[in-house]
Formats: sequence, C-alpha cells, structure tokens
Amino acid sequence: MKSFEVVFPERIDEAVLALKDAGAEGKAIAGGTALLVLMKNKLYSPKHLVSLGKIDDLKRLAYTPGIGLTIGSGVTEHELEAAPFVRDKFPVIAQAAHAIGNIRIRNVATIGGNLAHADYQCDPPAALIAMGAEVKLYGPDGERTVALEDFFLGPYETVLRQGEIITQILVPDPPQGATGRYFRFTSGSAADRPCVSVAICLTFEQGVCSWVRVALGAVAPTPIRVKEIETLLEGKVADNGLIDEAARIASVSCEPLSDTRGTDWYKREMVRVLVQRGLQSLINGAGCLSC
Amino acid sequence: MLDVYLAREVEGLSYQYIGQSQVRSDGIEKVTGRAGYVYNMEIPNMVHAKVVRSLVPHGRVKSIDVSKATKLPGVLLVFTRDDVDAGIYPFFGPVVNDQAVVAIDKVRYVGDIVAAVVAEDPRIAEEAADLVEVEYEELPAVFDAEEAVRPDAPLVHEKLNLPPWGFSDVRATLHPIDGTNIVNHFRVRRGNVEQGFAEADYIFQDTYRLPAVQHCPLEPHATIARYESDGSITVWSNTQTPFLVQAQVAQTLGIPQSRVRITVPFLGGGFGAKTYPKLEPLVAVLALKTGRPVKLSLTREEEFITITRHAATVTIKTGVKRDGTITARQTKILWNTGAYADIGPRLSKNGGYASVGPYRIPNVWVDSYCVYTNMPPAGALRGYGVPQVSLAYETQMDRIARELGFDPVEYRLKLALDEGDSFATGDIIHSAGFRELLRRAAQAIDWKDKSYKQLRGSTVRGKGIACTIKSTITPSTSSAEVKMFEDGSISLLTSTVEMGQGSDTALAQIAAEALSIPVESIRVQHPDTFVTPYDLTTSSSRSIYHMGNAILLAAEDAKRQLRDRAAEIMRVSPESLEVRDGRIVSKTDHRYGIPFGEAVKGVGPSHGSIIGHGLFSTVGGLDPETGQGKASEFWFAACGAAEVEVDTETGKVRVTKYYASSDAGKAINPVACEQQNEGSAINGLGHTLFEQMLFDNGQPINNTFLDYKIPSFLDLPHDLVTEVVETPHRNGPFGAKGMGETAISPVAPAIANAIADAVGVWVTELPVTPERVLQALQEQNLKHDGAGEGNQ
Repeated sequence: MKSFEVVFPERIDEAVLALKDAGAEGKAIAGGTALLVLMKNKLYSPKHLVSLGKIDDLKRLAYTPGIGLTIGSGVTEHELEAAPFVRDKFPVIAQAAHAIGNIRIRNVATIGGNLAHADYQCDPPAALIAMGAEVKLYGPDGERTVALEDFFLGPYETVLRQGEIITQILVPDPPQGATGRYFRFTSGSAADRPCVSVAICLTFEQGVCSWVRVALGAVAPTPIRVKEIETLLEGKVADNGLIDEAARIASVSCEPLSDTRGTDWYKREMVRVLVQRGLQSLINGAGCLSC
Repeated sequence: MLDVYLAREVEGLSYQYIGQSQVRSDGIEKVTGRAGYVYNMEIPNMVHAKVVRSLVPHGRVKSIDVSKATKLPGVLLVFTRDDVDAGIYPFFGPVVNDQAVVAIDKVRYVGDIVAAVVAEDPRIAEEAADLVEVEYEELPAVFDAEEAVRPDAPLVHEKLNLPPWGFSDVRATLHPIDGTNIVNHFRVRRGNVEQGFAEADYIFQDTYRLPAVQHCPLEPHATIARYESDGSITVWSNTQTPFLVQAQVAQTLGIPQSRVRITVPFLGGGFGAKTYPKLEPLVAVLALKTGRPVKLSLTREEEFITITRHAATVTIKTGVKRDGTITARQTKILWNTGAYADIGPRLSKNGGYASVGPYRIPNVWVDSYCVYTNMPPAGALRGYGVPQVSLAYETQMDRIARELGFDPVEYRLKLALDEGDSFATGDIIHSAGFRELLRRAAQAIDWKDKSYKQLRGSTVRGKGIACTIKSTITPSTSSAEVKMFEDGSISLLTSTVEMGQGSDTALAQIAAEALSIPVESIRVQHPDTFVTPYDLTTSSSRSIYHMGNAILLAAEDAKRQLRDRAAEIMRVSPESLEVRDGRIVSKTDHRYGIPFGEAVKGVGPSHGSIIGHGLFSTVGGLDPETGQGKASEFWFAACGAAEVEVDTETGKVRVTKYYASSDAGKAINPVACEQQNEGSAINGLGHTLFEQMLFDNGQPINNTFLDYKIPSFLDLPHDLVTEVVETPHRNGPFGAKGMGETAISPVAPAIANAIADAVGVWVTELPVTPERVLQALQEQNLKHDGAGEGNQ
C-alpha cells in the first residue's frame, strides 16, 4: 500500500470540504472493506482519505409509516440485516444485506460504501432498486436526490461528482400486501459473490399481479431494473406461460460479463432459471428456493 | 521389542494411553491466542524484507536500477544478482538446484523473485520495492504442460543444475530429458501390456484434467534470520522440513551445518506448502548482508504464487475382459511443475505408480512426466499426486463397471488388492484393508437402496464410491530422544513439526504408553536443529509410524538406563526390574520399587538426567527402468462415498452426504484421526467443486480470498461421517501407520461417480462447476434427441 493521509471529520459539510480540497487525489472511506483491498493491491492509491466513520448524522436508520425507510449511508450491512423493521417491512433488503461476505465484513462495511463502490457483483443494489430506492447526495454544489436505478453508470462508476457523498438512502413503503424476496445463485462456494442475483417484489390477489418490480444483479455492468417484465405481468393472471415469458425477457435484457463466476451464456441461463423460480415461488408458493 | 507391544494386545491387556481419544495438548494455547507463530514473532532490532517480483512470465533480466529505492530513507539494502558474491551459493531446490535467491539470468514466472529490499519498517520496504526498476527482454512463454512437451516449446531451463547430493529414491529414478522441459520421466514396466490389451475384450481410454489449486494455510510463509556473534545463524521458519532447510542454508552461506540453527514453533497449517526451502536461503543471505535480524513474511496474494498443487493431465487406458478382469493398464501423466521443480520429480514418481490403482492388474505401463512451464512452482499438497490420478482411475473404474453391467462396489471388491497381493511396483501389500473399507463405505451410504433417485422437480440424486492407494516416503529416517529429569518428568525431543495435525499429542501418547506414565507428564519439544535430533520431514503422513518407532526405541533405551540405576540403588539385578506406572519395580513384587526420579538421581551425587536415544530408518527403492522394487514402507488405503443432488436446470451439484474413511493401522488418538478424515473430506470437496487457480498469460487473476473460495461451513454436506479402520501393520508402533492425508484422494472420484449415477454425465475435468455440468447435460440431451431422430 502506498502512503496516504487520513482525516476524520465529524460533520457532513466538513467531510465535503475536505474532499473538495483533496481534489482528484482524495477519496471518501467508510468501512474500508472494498477500498482497502484495492489500495493494498495498488490498483488505486488515493493520497488523501476522508473518513466518514465519525459522522453520527450518517448513521441513522429509521422507519416512518407512510413514508418509508431512511438509511444513513454510514449504517452497516449488519445493522441493516438485523433491524426488526427492515426484516419485517423490507425483507428483500435485509436478505440482500445478509448475503454479503461474512459477519466480520458486515459489521464494518456500510451501505453507502457498498453503493458508492459500484461493483457489479454486490448484493444490495438490485434489492434496493427493486424497492424503488433513491439516494440523497450532498456535495460542494449542495444536495440532490437521484433514483438508485440512475445512480450507477458502469463498473466502479456512479453519478457522484467530485467531493460529493451519499448521505441517505430513501426507500418508500411498498404497496399494501406486497411480498418479495432476494434470490441469489453462486457458481462456487455458498460464501462466494453472486454469479447471478434477482430481486422481486410484487402484490397479487387471486393470481392477478397489481404491482411488480424486478431487478437483476451481477449480470450487467450495473444492476438493472427490467420494466418489460413489470409491464408484462401487471394486471394479469400470472400463469406458467406468462412466468416463462417473463423469465425469457429477463435472460435477454441483461448483458452479462463473462468472468470467473460464469460465461455470458451461463449467466443468461441462470437469470432465466432464477426469475422463473422466483416468480413461481412468490406467486404459487412453489419452486426451488435453495439456489 | 515391537512384538512386546503387539503381544500386549494379543494377551488381552488394554493400552493405558494410546487408542483413547485425548484432548489436544496444544488446544488451550491455540484457542486463547497465546501460541507462538513465526508470522507474529518479533525479534529485538529486527528489520523487514520485501521482495520485488517479476511482472513477465518469461524473460531475460537486462538491467536492474536500484538507485531510487536505495535513496528512500529507512532502506538498508536492495539486494540483486549484482550482490551475489563468491561467498554465496545462490541456487537451491530439493532435487534440482534450479531456483535462485534472486533472479540471476532469467525470470520464469509472474511472481519470480528479482530483488529484495530490507528496511527499518515493512511499509518502507514495500514502498522501496516498488521503486526498483527492472528491464526485461521478454521471451516466449509456455503455460500448459501439454504444450510444454511439444518439440518447439520454449525452454524454461536450458540446462539442469543437479547437486551431487539428493534423496536416494529420487536420484535413483530421476530421468530428465535433455533439450526438453521434462525434468523427470518416471516409468513403470510390468508384464506385457501389448499382450494384455490383445487379450482384452474391451478397451477403455479416457483423459482427465485437473487445474492448479492452492494450499491456503491460515499462516502464510514467514522466516526470520539472525546472525549470531559466534558466526552461527539462527533461522525461525514455519517449515515442515527443518533439517533440509538447515542443509540448504549451510550450503547457501558456505558454513558448517553445526552453525545453522533452524527453530520451528507451531505452524498455522502446512498441507505440504511448507516442505523444502522456500524463503530461508534468501532471508539468511539478507541477514548476512545487513548484520541485522531480518524478517520476511508473505502476503496472501504472494502465498498463492509461491507454491501450488500440480495441474495434471492424466490419460488412462485399460483393457478389460467380459468377466471384468483387467488385463492391462497404461497411463500417461503430465504434471505441470511450473517454473521450478521443487519436489515435482518425486511427486511424478509417486503419482506415477499410484496411477495404476489398488487393483489386481498383471500388465502395467506408466509414463509419468514432470514438466517445467512458466507458471508458479508446484509441489507437495495433501495427497501428493494421488488426488490427480485417482480421479482418473476411480472414475474410469465406475465407467467400466456400469458399461459391463457390474455393480461398482461388487466390481471393486472383486479386483481390490488383498493382503499378500503384489502392487504395480512389485511391493507386497500388507495392512491395507481395501475390502473392509469398501464394504463399510457401501453400508454407510446405504448403497443397495436405489430409491434415492426419486426426487421432485429438477433435482436428481445419485451415489458414488471411490477407493484409493497411496505410498509413504521411502527410505527415510526419524530419531527421537527421551530426556528424564530428576523429578521424574520427561521431555520428548523430536523434530516432528506440529502444524495442526496433532503430532504433539499423539507422539506424547506413544511415549506415555512406552514409559507407563501419564501423557500430561511429557512435554514435547518443538524442532530446533541445535537441540532436537534428526528427522527427514513432517509430511507423507509418516510421523506416527517413523517417529513413533523412534520414540519406542528411545523409551527402551531410557528404561534400560533407569533399570541399571535403580538396580544399583535397590541392590538387585537390572533383569529383575520392570517399569510400571512411573516406577521401577520388581517383576515379582510390584510393591517393591522406586519412582523414576529416584532412579534418575542414581547413587551418590545426583546424575541429573537420563537421555534415551532412538533412531528408526527404512530401506527401499525402485529400478529406474521398470519402476519395480520397494516403493513404500507401507500403504495407505482410503475410501469415500458421496451422495449428491444435481440440479438439472442450473448444473449445481450439492453434496448431501459424504463418508470418509481410512485405514490407520491403529488409531493412536482416535478423535484426531476422525478430524483428519473430516479435514481431508472438506479439503477435497473444495478441490472438486470450485477451487482452481486462474491465470491470464501467466498473470494470476484470482489470488485473493475474495475470488478464490475454499469451502465454507455452508458448503459442507449435511451428513459428514468419518470412520477409521484398523488393519494393524506388523512393524508399526502398536500396529499404527498414520493417515493424515489419506482420505482426500477418494473425494473427487466419489463425487464424480455420484454425479454419473444421478444424471449420466461423466466428469473429466475439475472443478465440477455448475456451468460444466449444465453444458454436459445439454450436450447429452442433444445426443439423445439426435439418436431419437435417427431411429425414426
């Protein structure tokens, strides 16, 4: 690792100022689980680190009925997976947070760091996109809010500008009676990063889906929301034929990168299987969930 | 003498300390974090080294510019080939002196050491290492053993530097081929294979490929070296082979072995990665040049490219009669040993003859090639070549059985080697209960129950079994000392390395049994070449048998001295005395006697101590042309049985049940034996299902634990059952043989056979990734569809 300086501001505006001063040589650091790996391997060597670890304003996690979930960017993955109201009202998010690494990682890694890192093989982004999350950003030019599905530009690339940090993730309350699940398939060890992941949330009554959200992870340079499936299923009786068609759409809407966890062909196949099984299990309570 | 112990069991007398599960003597120390490891060790005035590694897979080193690195404050030394003076012999290696402390002319793999920086602080050393500028003239590189044996392949080594010394078993059969990348061509020629194939009704020929995998010890390689004021050198190293390292460091520095002290505390895992010199020659040189104690410890990323398990291509051809009799077997194995031979020449020998398998086969022809490539060096890893070849012979064994309509278990029982049978090398089999293991494995997995295939949905279940044979390093020597103090307490001096396998506890149990005193009153001294007596190596699952026998001899020697001293005190003849429960007593009246301590003191001023010495050595060797002779002092036998579920839509294989068993001869510490079987099973599971080192033009791409996954608890079978079979060995201590790495070899073929049982797909390449399985299933469907159309 190359030498660097680190500062520990206690307020958001101080952090933003420090990042602005550092310019291109600066980088915000939270849990450090992703950034330090890059730095130790000298793939990325910022000269100035601005730690967000001492900013209490970033560590709030709250649920307000009728409004939704407010997640401070400094909330750890473990806090997210463990909070009763997250598990209860937003199980898809709790499941995705739980899927990360191991408990030692989850105790220090933060949700804001995870999103800002923008690695296409991370778990939470697809789950948060399916739940319609927005991110609040704060920087030298003030505050703005961006839909999470528009936040990612490519692998390790986001809309974050110089000196800008994520302050909050806002997740609206899903419609009454919504159900959902985060499905994850690993091609190696169960503790591996996902080969393919699918987050599905929906509401249905007597077989008719009134609201559907489907997001895919690890199968494109960024997590993607598949609106075509949502349009296909909403307002219809989701029979086997329709579910198979939805799965087919998912497999052609992604653009997987061939990597150590699978080729383009295989990942498309797994997206199809996962979406098919996921919809079956949520709608008909059937299908194999233990992927 | 040994008969005395066996006779005890025959007479129905039970053992006091061996054969009973014993709590690990090092357990509390380790779980409370107090146990010392070289990786954590600090020495006063210590400085830190970092190496500069090649970024190209094959190249001539044109120039090295150290000027920037040298100028960095805190840097003491930047060591390159220009600093190798007449006093330093830079080359090392257990068989071929092909590796250098720093590159002399060429670099041969991405990660090869070009220079070393020593600085006051490890971070400064790292920063300085980045400032060393190396210019290479890149050369064509070869990565695959199959390509490296072609006539036009680039040569990794132009000539071989064979030292005048070496292991007798390797030197006798070493057969490098000049002008090629083949560093050893080992052969077995037995009977007449041509005639055997001519007599066969069916010929089966298959090729299997396995990738390089990593040992992944918790503690990476680490070495500290300090020059002492008397001109000797002390080296703290986490090595499995202290005496081989001692000889190497003496050679490197040109000083007598009596001035080289290698001390080895606990190892945080070895698995073969820490056999033979690795960092020690370089660190010794750096200590000499700086006059300071120097520490070098590797990062995880470096650990991955320091030593690996051989990638292998195994082709196996078997002639079979209609009744199942095997008439001939021919195997050809290419072992990718990487840029440096390490112990590859021996591994290709042992893996070579092992490729024939534990079956009665009259005609055998083996060509086993150890091949240089521009990859990280490959060496010993748990199983030592057998996991690679057993995938081939045990998977093919099932294919033969199924195609000829035999039950795979019955078929193996019909052909398995039995007591007194002759193995491919001519060795006569003793104490290797293949049949017993097979019967128990079949029972454990409920082999006869065929209802297991009925599963709902896309998941299909199958069962598989495999049975393997392995040798131990032969000839070899172990020695031990039993040191008794005047209070009757005992220190056991051996150079066996405690690397997690439980040797401290098991060896103490053997000494306790021989001396008739509780295990707790024995302290086991860890290796220190200035203190503990010679032992060849802690590997090859050899310590229980070899060191165990040396301890029995040392105990006899100590007891003889005790009896002599006690006889003098008690004014009786030594022959009338025996050792019992920590006392020297009259054979005729056990109440009449004195405690050990009194006997140690002797008559007159206290004699202070008694030292009993024991040396145990084996003989053996193979004919270099035919591979016939004595390959092994004894034979390890193992069996594995797997139940898997294959998801036919994803190709994912889940091992739902695994049964691992091995024949220990006699289990000294039964719970530790069971844990070794469990460890072998889990280790093998990773190698079978997902572990593989990946490279892009020689550049490692998954040398981190983020991308290279070993099994987690979530990957383990729901049912993991182990068993230890005991077929006593006539020369083993209490009949024991050892068994540490035995159970790893059946894992891959047992799982492969279970997959074939479930879905009819034959595994020919590891790891069995879901993508490979799905592809094979789709190809199978295409074939079936094609066959259907043809019939119309």
